Amino acid sequence: MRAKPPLPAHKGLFGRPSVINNVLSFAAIPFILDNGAKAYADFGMGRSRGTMPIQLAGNIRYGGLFETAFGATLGELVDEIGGGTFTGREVRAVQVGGPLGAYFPRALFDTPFDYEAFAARDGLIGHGGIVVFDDTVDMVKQARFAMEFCAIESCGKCTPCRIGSTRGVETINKIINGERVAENLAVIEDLCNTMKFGSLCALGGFTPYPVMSALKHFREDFGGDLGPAPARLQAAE
Amino acid sequence: MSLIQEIDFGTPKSKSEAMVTLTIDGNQITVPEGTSIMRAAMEAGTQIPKLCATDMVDAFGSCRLCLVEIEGRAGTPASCTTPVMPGLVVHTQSERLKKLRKGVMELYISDHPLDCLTCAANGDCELQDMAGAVGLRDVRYGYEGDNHVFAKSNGEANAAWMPKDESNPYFTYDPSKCIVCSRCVRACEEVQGTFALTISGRGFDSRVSPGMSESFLGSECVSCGACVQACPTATLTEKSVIEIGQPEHSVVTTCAYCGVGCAFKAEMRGEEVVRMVPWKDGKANRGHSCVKGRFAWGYTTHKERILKPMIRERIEDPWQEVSWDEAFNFAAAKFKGIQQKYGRDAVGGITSSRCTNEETYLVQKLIRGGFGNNNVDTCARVCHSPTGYGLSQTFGTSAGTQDFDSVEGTDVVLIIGANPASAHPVFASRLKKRLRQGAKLIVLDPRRTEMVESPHVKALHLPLMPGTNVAVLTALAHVIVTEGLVDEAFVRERCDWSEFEDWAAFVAEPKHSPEATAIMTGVDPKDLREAARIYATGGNGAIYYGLGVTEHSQGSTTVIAIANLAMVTGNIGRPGVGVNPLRGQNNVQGSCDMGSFPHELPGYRHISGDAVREQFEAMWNVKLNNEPGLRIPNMFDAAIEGTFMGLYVQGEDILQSDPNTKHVVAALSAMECVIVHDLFLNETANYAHVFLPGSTFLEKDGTFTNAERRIQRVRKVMTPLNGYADWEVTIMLGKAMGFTMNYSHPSEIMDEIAALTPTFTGVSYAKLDELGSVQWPCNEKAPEGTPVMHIGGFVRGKGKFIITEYIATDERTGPRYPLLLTTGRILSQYNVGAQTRRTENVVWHAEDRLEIHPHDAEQRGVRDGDWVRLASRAGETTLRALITDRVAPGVVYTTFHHPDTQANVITTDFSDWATNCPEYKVTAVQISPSNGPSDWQKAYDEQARNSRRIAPVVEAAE
Repeated sequence: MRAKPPLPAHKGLFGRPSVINNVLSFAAIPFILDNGAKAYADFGMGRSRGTMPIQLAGNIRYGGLFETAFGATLGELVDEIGGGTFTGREVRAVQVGGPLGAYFPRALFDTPFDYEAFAARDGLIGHGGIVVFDDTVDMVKQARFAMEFCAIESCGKCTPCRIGSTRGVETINKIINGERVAENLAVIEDLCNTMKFGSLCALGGFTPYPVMSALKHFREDFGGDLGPAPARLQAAE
Repeated sequence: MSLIQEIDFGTPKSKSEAMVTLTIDGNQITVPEGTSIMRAAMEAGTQIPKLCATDMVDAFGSCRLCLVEIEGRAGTPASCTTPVMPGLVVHTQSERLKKLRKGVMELYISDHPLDCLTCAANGDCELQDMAGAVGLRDVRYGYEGDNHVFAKSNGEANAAWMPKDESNPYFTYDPSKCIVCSRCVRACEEVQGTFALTISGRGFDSRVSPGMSESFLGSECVSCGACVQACPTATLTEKSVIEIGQPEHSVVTTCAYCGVGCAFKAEMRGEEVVRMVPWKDGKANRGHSCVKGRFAWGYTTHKERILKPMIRERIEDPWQEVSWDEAFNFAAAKFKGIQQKYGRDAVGGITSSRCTNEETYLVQKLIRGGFGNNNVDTCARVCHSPTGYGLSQTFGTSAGTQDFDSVEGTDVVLIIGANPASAHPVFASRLKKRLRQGAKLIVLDPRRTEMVESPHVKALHLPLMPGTNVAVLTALAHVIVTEGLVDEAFVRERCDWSEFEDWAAFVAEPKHSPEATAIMTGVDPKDLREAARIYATGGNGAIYYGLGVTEHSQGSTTVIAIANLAMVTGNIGRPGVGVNPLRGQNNVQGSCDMGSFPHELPGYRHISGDAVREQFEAMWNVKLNNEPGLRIPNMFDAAIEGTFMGLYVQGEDILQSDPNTKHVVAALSAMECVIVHDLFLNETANYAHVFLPGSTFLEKDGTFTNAERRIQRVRKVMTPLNGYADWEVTIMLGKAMGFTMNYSHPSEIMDEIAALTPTFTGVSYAKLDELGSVQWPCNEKAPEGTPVMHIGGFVRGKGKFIITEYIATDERTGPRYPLLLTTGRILSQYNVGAQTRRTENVVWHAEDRLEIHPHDAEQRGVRDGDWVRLASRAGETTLRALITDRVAPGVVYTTFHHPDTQANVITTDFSDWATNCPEYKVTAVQISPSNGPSDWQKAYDEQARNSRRIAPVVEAAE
């Protein structure tokens, strides 16, 4: 993982300017060539133009890959396109954007699928993955999973991610064991702040999203005295 | 005196000339474009917390302590990786930044031992400093989690913990203290260019690893010390620091090993050296070092150092320890007696390229003024005398044309007969850095050297047969001339055109083509043509060469051929180009400059010139002989003849280093008084009658002049263990002989040199203290010295093309001696090894080995490690074989670092036609399996043991 700038477009592979494309871009090209840029841009809302291939997964009745214009609400995507949970139980949490996306409760199902709208609610669109959980989910374990995921995937270059993810798993374990829950929640909050703003890349920088959203929206799963909900994380870069 | 704290700017200096102004913490600052915000802040005096950044390597951005806020930009960018932009407004401290930094430090310390009080880095630990700087007061994670700190956790073995690696003799690697900043890994790559280190594992498992989890000693590590210097914690620490503790003061001085002339801080505790740390302001080394200068200084206090003067009547007698006065009187009486009996010219001396300019100057002054003859010579006779001859004939000066910084502007590097990775390692690192940036490399060498095999460097290697340099260089010129690659504008403007025309017609003859000469040289004509085209047309072309050029019967011709190549392509007279002899010894340039040759007074002025000689006569108050004296080989011949009977040898082991050892033994044995002035009872001392204890570079003041003509200070950091610096000993020896030299400090000697030598007029200790160093010529025309010579025109006037006819050496292979032996050096040992063999460096090279191609080995039934007998027409010895395809079939190679090998028993009396520089690099030999040391080696060893006996001193009863 190299610090940027310089961006790959200026200095990339072998130190030369390099174009890096997401497969999503390639998927959009045939339509744009066929129908023109305006036709593509006419889809979507706000600054999020065009379409997005959305991956519906997890505990969902109609899982799969669906391409739709930006702007549908999260509720429409989960309940109408996805048909709710596979188990038939109530949807409790939805992780949007990939393993480092935020967990949204039903209360936020009115959020339109739009970069700015998700960011305004401390979430992200990411690669368009949506993972659905029913009411049997234990959100403190989901928070720990995010830290574990980061620890396993970490390249080890920057300190917040290299050491922070391991300490995150350990600290959440203490919370699960009921050890000094309030103090350890404060540690987690500080750690998430360090990782979010201190990490070199998006792995460490985004791991706080699932952790902090789980804590914010599902505080009851973290045990201890239910103190005031943690302060809202500062906006991402 | 205090400890010199060099400022670490965090990231390297930008070379851009465009300037950028920005605001940091309310202060406006203007820096070159490309400078990092971190460096800009440091230049303005604000130290942004950092751990992974250091100005010896490029920014990395991993520690995340140096985050800053920039107005109008989101987030907290790392100041090390963010370049300055015009008008930026940067804040280095804010509530958010404080919290982030504290958060990062809390993570670091959660996986770090808390043994600061007993840690070797206590007082010199950047982690400790940063914990203090960010105000870390608590580690809320506890210390029970995953860690690399404890061998056991919860009663079980901790798989993440690794034991210390103490395999390197000079430093330890303690993985438990590693903060994975990668500074060592990057230093090994970017500064040293060895790529021995990496980070093994990922994520929390990341840890520094030599090679594939090898030990440091077992890995490709060359022990240059760059990683130790880069380490911000006690993870990589000098064993001397672990043993002694942190230094309390430091003195900048110059390394006494090779001709690179690295500047070091001698970090001291009282008069004890704690460590030698390369000085970043050193203009030759720019903060880098090699295993010798950095670590191999233990010889200075080695128990075998001789600290008391000794005398004996006969070399068969044991040595008698005596007072200094007795020794001087004994020596003076002997020398005077010899002169009375055999004439004034029957004594002489050899100056040392290991000693300071001032000491060398005094020895030649003593010989010319006190002995009354010009029988003075120096070891440059056996290394770079052809350089002096060849370059002064063609260009008009006897030295390299560039400074080492010049390599940073070079596009094509042509290395001829040199292996800087072994013999000039710090320059090699600077060169390799340039090569990794894209400069092209051409290597002319019989062996596939370390330079050819450097990581991330692609070399065009022309493996020529030893002894065919002139043919190959003339073939290169043939291609340049016949393919129309001549820089005609340069030649017409700067060189003698009619001489050029004669030369061009000569090299253009078909018999000099690569195709015609391939049968002699063994070089593929296609490769040779390619090399010529690259050198002539690839941009700035620079030639670096070594003893593989000079130590031949046509050494001077080869130097001339090199000068021709540089002139014909216009590669002279600006940065990035030039002709650069890589001088072997720390002060071999200086010893030549100081008038160590029998025909030249200081400044390369002939002794027969009345005007110059009269200046010296006036200053020295003595009449000088106007006849050149004897060269070293002439001294030996005269000794055997019975006309040369007394020799004063300062700091040189002629017996081991000069060719044809048997001849040298015969000459020394024939002399009536040999005075050896040295640190140790070296091989020459086995035939000496007076031993004057020498002092090390740590024990005296003076100057050394390196391969780039750079004059640098040597500063005394401890009292001489033997009582006197070498310059004082020479003065006292002179006094005993009735020749008075009055100086109370070496600076006075330099003042005298400056007064008598036009190229040194502007040199003084005050100026050296002020500027750090100067490159001669340093005079009214160039008050701060001359980094690049021949700018705008050659020193001699017009550059002179000289025809270079290839004449094969008389040393030929034949049925009895079918192989060609060539000799060289290895990184860890220095020259005859008198110093490095008395350090831990022997772990890398405990003996000289004979490199032999697998094909030649198999034909002779030799297996790797077998003892082999190596015989030439001059003599024979035995050593163990090392089978390798680095040498071509028909070529064998060895080093000459160990006296028990006596590689010079094999080498012959053939020498350069112009300067008598011995032909070390070509000897026809045969090898055969052997059972062990030869009879000669056994007899030599016995004589040496016998000769080194020191008679016990009988203490008088009270």
